[in-house]
Parts: sequence; C-alpha cells; structure tokens
Amino acid sequence: MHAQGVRRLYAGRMTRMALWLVRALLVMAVPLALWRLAYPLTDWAALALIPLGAAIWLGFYRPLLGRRRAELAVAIRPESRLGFWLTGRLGAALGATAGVVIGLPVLAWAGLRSQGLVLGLLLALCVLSGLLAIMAERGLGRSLTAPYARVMGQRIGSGAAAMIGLIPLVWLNWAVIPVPHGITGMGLPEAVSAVIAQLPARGTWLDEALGGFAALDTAKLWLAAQYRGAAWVGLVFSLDAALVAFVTARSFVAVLDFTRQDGAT
Amino acid sequence: MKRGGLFIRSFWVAILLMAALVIGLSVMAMMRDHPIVARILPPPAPVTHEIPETRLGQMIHDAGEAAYAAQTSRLDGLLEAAFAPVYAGIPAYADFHYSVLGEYSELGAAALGQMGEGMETRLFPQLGAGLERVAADLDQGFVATFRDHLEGQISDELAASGAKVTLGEMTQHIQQDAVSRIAVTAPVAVAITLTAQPAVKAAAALMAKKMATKIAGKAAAKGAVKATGVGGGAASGAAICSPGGPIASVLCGAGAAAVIWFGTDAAIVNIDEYFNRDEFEADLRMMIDENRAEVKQGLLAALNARREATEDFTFREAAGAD
Repeated sequence: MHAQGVRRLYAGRMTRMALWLVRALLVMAVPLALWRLAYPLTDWAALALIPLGAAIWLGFYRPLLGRRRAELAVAIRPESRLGFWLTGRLGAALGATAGVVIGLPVLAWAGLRSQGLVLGLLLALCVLSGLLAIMAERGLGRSLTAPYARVMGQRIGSGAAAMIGLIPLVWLNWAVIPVPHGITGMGLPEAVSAVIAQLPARGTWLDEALGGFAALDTAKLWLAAQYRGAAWVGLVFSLDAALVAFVTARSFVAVLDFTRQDGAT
Repeated sequence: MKRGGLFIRSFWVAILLMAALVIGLSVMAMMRDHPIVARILPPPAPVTHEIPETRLGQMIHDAGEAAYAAQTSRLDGLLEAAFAPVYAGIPAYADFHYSVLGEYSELGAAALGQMGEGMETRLFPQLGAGLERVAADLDQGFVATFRDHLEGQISDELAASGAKVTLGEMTQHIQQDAVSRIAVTAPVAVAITLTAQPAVKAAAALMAKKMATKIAGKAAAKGAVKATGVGGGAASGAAICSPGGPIASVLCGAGAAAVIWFGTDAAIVNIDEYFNRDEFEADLRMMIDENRAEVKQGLLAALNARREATEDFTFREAAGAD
C-alpha cells in the first residue's frame, strides 16, 4: 500500500515535470516558429516575440526578486524606513531586463537563420537544461533556503546543460554545416553585403538590427574562412557559434520558471 | 489576483493563437504547389520566384561539375594540338642531332651546361604559347559551360513554376554573383604558369641530361678511333708534301688531319644515325609523352581547383585538406 503511494507520488511528479517542460517548450518554440515563418512576409512578425520576451522577463524577475528580498530581510531591520524604498524590485527588474535584452535578440536571430539541425539540437538542449535546473533546484533545496536554491539551481542547471550542448554544437559548426566557398574569394564588405541582401529589404529598424547581426556573423565567418587551413581558427569559430547554447539554456530555464509559477493557473 | 489571472489567460490564448498560425502557415507553405490547391486558389499576384538558397547552392555545385566534366573531355584534344608541333619537330631535331654541326653544338652546350635551354628552343619552341592558349581556352570553356548550365537549370525551375514567372531579385543576385565569381576564381591560366611551363623546362632539362651522357660517351668512343686515324693521316699528308719544303709539309699534315678528323666524325655520325636514329626518335617521343602526361595532370588539378571553388566546405574539411 505504502509502495503504491510512493509510486503514485513519483508518477505524479514526473507528469508535473513533463507538463512544465511541454508548456515551456510551447512558450519558447511557438513564438520563434511564427517569427521564422512570418518575418520574410512582414515586420509584424516581431509581435510574436512579445509573449516570449514577457515570459523570459518574468522568469528572470521573480527568482531574482525572491533572492533580493531574502537578502534585504536579513540586511534591513523590520522597523527601518529603508524597507519602504529598498524592495529589491529595481535590481530584479534590471537583471530581468538584461536577460531579455541579451536573450531575445540572440534567440530571434538563431531562430531566423539557424539550420534545422541546429534548431533541433537547441530544442533538445532546452529540455536538458529544464530537467537539470529542476533537479539542481531540488538538490540544493535540501541545503539552501528556497529563494537561493531557485536562483542557484537555475544557474547551475542551465550552465551544465549549455556545457553539454556545446560539444555537439561545436561539432555541427566544425564538421557538418557547410561554408559557402564563394566567401573565400570575396572581400569583407562584399561578403557582408551579399548576406544582408538575403534579408528582406524593407528599410525598417528591424532590418537595420538584423543587418547588424548579419554583418557580425558574416565578418566572423569571413575571417575564419580566410584562415580555414588552420584547424584552430575553425574550432574557435565553431566554439563562438556554439555559445548560443548558454543564452538558449538560460532563457529556457527562465521560461520554465515562468510556466512553473503561472502555467497551472 | 484577478489581474494576474487575466494576464495568464491572455498569455496562453496568445500562445495558442500563434500555434494555430504556425500550423496554418506551415500547411499553406506545404500545399502551395499542390495541384488541387493551385486550382482552387487564384494564381498569386507577384510573379517572381525566388529559388531557395539550398537548391541554388546545389545548382551551382552541379554547374561546377558539368563545367569540369566538359573541359576534362576536351583536354586531350587541346593538348594534342598544343604538342603537335613538338612531335612534328622530332625528325628535324634528329637531323640536327645526327649532323657534325649538331653534334658539336650539343657537345658545346653540354660542356657549358646549357643543353636544356638549347633543347627547349629547338624542340619546344611553341609549346609555352600553345599551353597558354590551352589554359585560356579551358578557362573560357569552364566559365561558359558553368554559366549556361546554371542558366539552364534556373530556366527549368522557372518553367516548372509557371509560364509568366520571372526570376526573383535575390536569386538573380546570387546567380550573377556565382558567375562573376567563377570567372575570376582559380584560373587555369595562372595555374599553368605555376605547373605546366616549369614542367616543360624540367622535361627539357631531363632530356638534355640524358642526351649529354650519350653525347659524352659517343665523343669518348670516337676520340680513340680518331686519334689513330688523324695521327696516320697527318704523317701521310706531311710525307706527300715533303718535296715542297717543311712549311708545306706541316700545312699538308694539318689539312690532312682536319679532313680525316671531320671525315671520321661524318662517317661515325652516319653510322650512328643508320643504327640508332629510330631508337633516338622513339626515346624523344617517349620523353615528350611523359612530359605531356605531366602537363595534363597539372591542368586537371587546375580544373579541379576551379570545380572545388564552386563547392561549399566545412572547417573540418578545410583543415584536413591542408
């Protein structure tokens, strides 16, 4: 009877964890898929990224606020008027905004330009980072108070998953994704212009922003292609291209936190 | 609490709406070319067609392969034309070789270490220019076949898209870029100055080295024969002219020695030619064949470099290739 109860409890936990992950994957993948499909047609596709940005912001804000409040509760006397001003909201909001400012454009660019194989790998990385973050949070929860276990668990989980995901991503960029041979015979401005020409030319701020990403990516690829004979150059380029794993994993864990707190309601 | 609940509900409604849009757009993208859908839906207003980048990449690759195949199939014919004067010059060179003048010229050049240059100017006088023409011909042919094949593939794709469809701006840009890039990338004409022409020089030097050994051997053998003949001839000449006094005796002796020296040379050269000319010409032909094969390998490598310039690579391949 007792064993059956434990099994039921375990199964319930697994189901809940799977539901969190599915919801978080939906919040992450659906806006990016719509953005990828609709951007060639219209700049309004950028609206699809708003819910994702909101989820990432809240997913960063709440754990940061919880930890900041715990710190302030220890640091400020209950009767002090400082407590009215120092609520921890500003610091948490700044941290969350930084998370969105870095994470959302990187995810949008990766979602738009990455090949299917890379996108599949990034989705798998999301699942892994979510699982590791939940496990790390639970493990740390035995020793730390909840606000600290939450923030540290998320950081450790996403960091560990990104490190694991880095290996196949470096491999893909190094050995699988083809580099157009033409780039070796072009000058840098010519190569950048050719890539920017592949983006829809609507002359909007979004074009300009994406043009900046395109220019940066192409400049790195061009430089690596010029010295392609040296293995370390290709490896450094592949490693740099794989760093998207850290942003993806951290953003997904933030989205997961958002869906864990609000997804059931 | 109520406000939070509304936000969450709105959030999930937005996600579900977006999911529906994603599914709708994906289905539309998949069904666009379906004949039933095409019959139901009115034809789309824009009549331009952009070929997907991956498909265009494959077309560029195929055009590179076609250009490579077309030029390699022409290569033997072009080389035959370039080497024809060289083969035609073999009898003339053999005539020169089997003459007293030629023998002394070769001996002098061998002694000065200039036999390779002499052989290059006598046997390969037009080969350098001929190979340059071959390279230019291959370059032009490669670019023309590449351009025509790419245009043909794009035209086929356009024809399949509809009667009034024109090529999209982006595809046009990539097409023009590919053609203009292939026109300047890794030309065979550059490669030939680096490989084929040095190969001709090396071949001439090698042939000269082999010939110099033979000439030296021949000269040594003739020296022994001529020493006794010339000595005897000089003595006989001096004896015949001795009534004319000592000066006439010396002159007659020297004249007789010279006649016998060159006469012996002419006789030995003629005997050598009679017995060895065919073998000599065959040797020359074989050495030219070897050189031609070497030049062909150089040109094939240059054409391959042009073909590879149309292909994409991974960093792993690029690092492994070097």
